[in-house]
Amino acid sequence: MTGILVASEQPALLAELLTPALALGGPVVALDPLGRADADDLVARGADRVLRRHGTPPDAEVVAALLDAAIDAAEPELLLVGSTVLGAEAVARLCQRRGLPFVNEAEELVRTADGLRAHRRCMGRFVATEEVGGSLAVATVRARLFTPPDRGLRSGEVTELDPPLPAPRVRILGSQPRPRCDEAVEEADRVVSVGRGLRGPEDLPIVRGLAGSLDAAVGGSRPVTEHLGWLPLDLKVGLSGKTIAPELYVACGISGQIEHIVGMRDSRVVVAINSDPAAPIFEEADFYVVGDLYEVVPALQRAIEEVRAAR
Amino acid sequence: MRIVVCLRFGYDVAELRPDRRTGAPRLRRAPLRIDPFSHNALEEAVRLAERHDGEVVALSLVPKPPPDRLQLEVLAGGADELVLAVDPGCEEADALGLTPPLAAALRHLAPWDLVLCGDAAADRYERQLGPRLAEALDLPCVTRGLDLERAGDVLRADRSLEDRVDRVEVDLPALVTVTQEANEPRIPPLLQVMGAGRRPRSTLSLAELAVGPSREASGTRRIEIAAPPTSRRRQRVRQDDTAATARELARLLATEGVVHR
Repeated sequence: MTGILVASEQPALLAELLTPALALGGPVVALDPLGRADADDLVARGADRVLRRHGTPPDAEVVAALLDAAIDAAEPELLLVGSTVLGAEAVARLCQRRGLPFVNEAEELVRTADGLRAHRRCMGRFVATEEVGGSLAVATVRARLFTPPDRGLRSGEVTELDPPLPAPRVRILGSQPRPRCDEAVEEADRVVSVGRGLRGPEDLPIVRGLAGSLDAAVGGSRPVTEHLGWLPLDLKVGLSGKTIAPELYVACGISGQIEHIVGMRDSRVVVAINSDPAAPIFEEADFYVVGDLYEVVPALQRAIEEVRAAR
Repeated sequence: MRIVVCLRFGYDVAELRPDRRTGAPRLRRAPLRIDPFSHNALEEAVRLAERHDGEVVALSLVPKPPPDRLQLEVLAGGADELVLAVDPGCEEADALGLTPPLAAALRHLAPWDLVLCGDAAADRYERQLGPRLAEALDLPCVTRGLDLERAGDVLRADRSLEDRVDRVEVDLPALVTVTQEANEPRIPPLLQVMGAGRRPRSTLSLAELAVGPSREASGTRRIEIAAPPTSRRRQRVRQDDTAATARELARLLATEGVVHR
């Protein structure tokens, strides 16, 4: 069988990967390495075959070995793997073992005579078009780039894989869940983000007020999440944080370093508020106000509330 | 404890502008810097070495030796030694191609206890070189590592995952890719900057490493690189006073359909 193998240990991401796989054409095989997904759901959404293994330790070397076995079983031409911490390490190990390149966080995937052509972001604001191919073309795909295909009345085969697997060499001593925020910034339709224009964490209510009036989630730039810790790391928007594409993005007191732009430039409407008339964020904005966020943000909150009350 | 840090001298992506004719980033005169992810890895290595009376070797695969100022910055940042593996075509290679010369250079520098890499390179952003090196050298690997701590023959680290942080342990030798959350690289004290010039620096050629050029071992075909034109309207909203400006902005947003009932 030749076709496309998709794999992720995260059930939601695995379902999303079916969308590009179906668009690229050919039989689709889904690998559920840790046995966490609903195989019937994957079949209903378009997987012709589901390979799975229950109780696999969440270890990249083990998942790489399982991917290796799934490739031998499915003999795919293309492999798409969810870009998670575990998935990214597993696919790098697998590709190194097999002497293959892969495209990191591919977008706009197209099948070519020889494999796969895709876009990927690099060098800051640039997009590279790259081709990989040969015996097997491999790419990773980040979460929430695609929405899962609709469910339908389909049939497929579910196979339990049980290849010999290595023992994990990374021992997990303990695990601490990240502080969960009320609303994940990557799932919100509207996001109000804050940067170094804020003088201190005690002033966050100003930004939260505007977010409240817009039913928006709050996000932050790298300095306020990572270095200053005013907001949880979970809310970092940028190259080293979340890549988001809400319908509205309001940047308050964010200068607009490329690190940040990469994380928000797919937003539909961008508003920027900054006191520096030369702030690079204005280049990436649809509407901008040059002014002190301490004045503009509360005024905008009142104006938004008026607009909503008038409807 | 001997630690090798794989460093990248890369481009400051904020400074890259597209070439008017080709759309590709203009790299010829773009200044180099220590890649920020590499810088976090160097800092983490130096902190570990300070606690365990260790030494830090900085290793970089470069098309040609970078400016002296950057080499000194690595040494002043706490590296005891800088080794440059020179491969003239390496900027055109992919991570598959870069792995054999870097793995060969690491073998050349053995024995060591730990290899640290940045979690990515801010400019190339392939995000795979660390685990590829671990696979090539048959090492256990921790990606997105921070809070590194040595205890006897094992290394403990936090691994930053999507929804949680795991405390993990691996036997040494091992490879860790360091996240940007891990630390804030130090600004070296004057004394260290002055002493940096006396620390050993050396180069290794591909012939000495007995490997071929990375470009020839690559598998990715680059078709094009360009900066997509931004379609932002860049409309400044400005009225007589802040309240009026805010009302105008709210009206515009309502017209855009992004203010909901």
